[in-house]
Amino acid sequence: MRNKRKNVAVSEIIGTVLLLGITVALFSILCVVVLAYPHVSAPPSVNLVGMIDNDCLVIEHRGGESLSPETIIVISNETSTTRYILKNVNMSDYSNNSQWDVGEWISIDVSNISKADVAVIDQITGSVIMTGKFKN
Amino acid sequence: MMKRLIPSNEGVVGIVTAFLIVGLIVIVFSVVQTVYVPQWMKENEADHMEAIADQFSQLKFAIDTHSQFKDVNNPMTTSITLGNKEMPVLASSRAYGSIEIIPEQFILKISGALESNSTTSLNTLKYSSSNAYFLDQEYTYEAGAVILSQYQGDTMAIKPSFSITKEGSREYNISINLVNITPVGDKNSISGYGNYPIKTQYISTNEFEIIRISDFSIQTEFSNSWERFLNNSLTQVGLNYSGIGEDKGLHSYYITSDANQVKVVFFTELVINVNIKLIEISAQIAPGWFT
Repeated sequence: MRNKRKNVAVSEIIGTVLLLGITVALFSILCVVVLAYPHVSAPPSVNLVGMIDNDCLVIEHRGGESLSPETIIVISNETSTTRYILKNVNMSDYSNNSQWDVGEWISIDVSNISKADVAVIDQITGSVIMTGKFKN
Repeated sequence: MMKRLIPSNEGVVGIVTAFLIVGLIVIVFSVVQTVYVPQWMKENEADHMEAIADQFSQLKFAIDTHSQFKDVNNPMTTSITLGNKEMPVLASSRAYGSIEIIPEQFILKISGALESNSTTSLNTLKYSSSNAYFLDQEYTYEAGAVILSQYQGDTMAIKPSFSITKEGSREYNISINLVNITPVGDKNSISGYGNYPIKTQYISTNEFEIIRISDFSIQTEFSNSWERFLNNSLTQVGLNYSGIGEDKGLHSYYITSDANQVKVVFFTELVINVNIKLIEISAQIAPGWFT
């Protein structure tokens, strides 16, 4: 008795296997993406304005979310980079909560710096929330 | 006659695939809904607050133009976007806002003058947001200034028309343009989320001078902002600040401040004259027609 090769329903099987494969692959990719997602909140939405006043760099909070006392202020020029933590700089903390709130300003003495870049970094989200250049 | 149940594996793959596809869709929607939608909406609302700042700048520009040209026949219209819409398809909340004209919210009292003291009360125009994701903010047009306030404090976004000039060794002239917003009809407030026009029109200007004052005070909801503004303005012309509430004798002035009032006291050796322009502007903040 001869064995007959049957090709009936082969395309359906291949289609189903491919569909299953695609679904499993997408599901796996999504799981990896979701599980690897760093659950860090978005950078704070805040409006900061910087200016030079009497040899001091003054940065004022002009609205938006409050910034934590751990916020970093970096002043850098061609020769040096100085890093300040908000809680250690001179701040007008009108609301007495150690946070940098609307209407409050910080002041850093830059009398020995003629020209530099300034950046304010939110340490919680690790994001830069303000950059600028100043000339003294 | 009973039917026998025959075990069969036909269609199992299709069912598993269907379950996986449904699961995939549910996970995608869940992630977008719980992680991304709040961030997108927060950014939308923050952008909307920036737009309100721009719109208040335009409102101030319109009022300043009225004050400059004093034309009673040419009203100007600016607009305020009260809120913003929710996202389509995905579940999110709509942000609302309101504008109101608050009567006698700003009071300037000048005392110790040579001839007569003065009290001027002004209405203010305030926008308040009701955000669902971003923090709530208020923008207030008060006596020519635009003040941004939120839960933690306030700051002067745009300064008023206020100048100090030195006339002699001990004489200073202070010029203040005070803008009083008068509502048209009985419509003092409006709420919603759409774009609403504010029609402003010049009414009149009343100018007067008060000579040799000893102090002036401002009753306002935003005493911090006004205190900082006044202090900066006075020190810029060379007046010496003696510290909050302190009278050190050798200095030019001192300031006392509480939650609702700022008071500036000048020392007796100074001659301080104040020139006030009280500008009346009508504002129609609600839809409708008035004559």
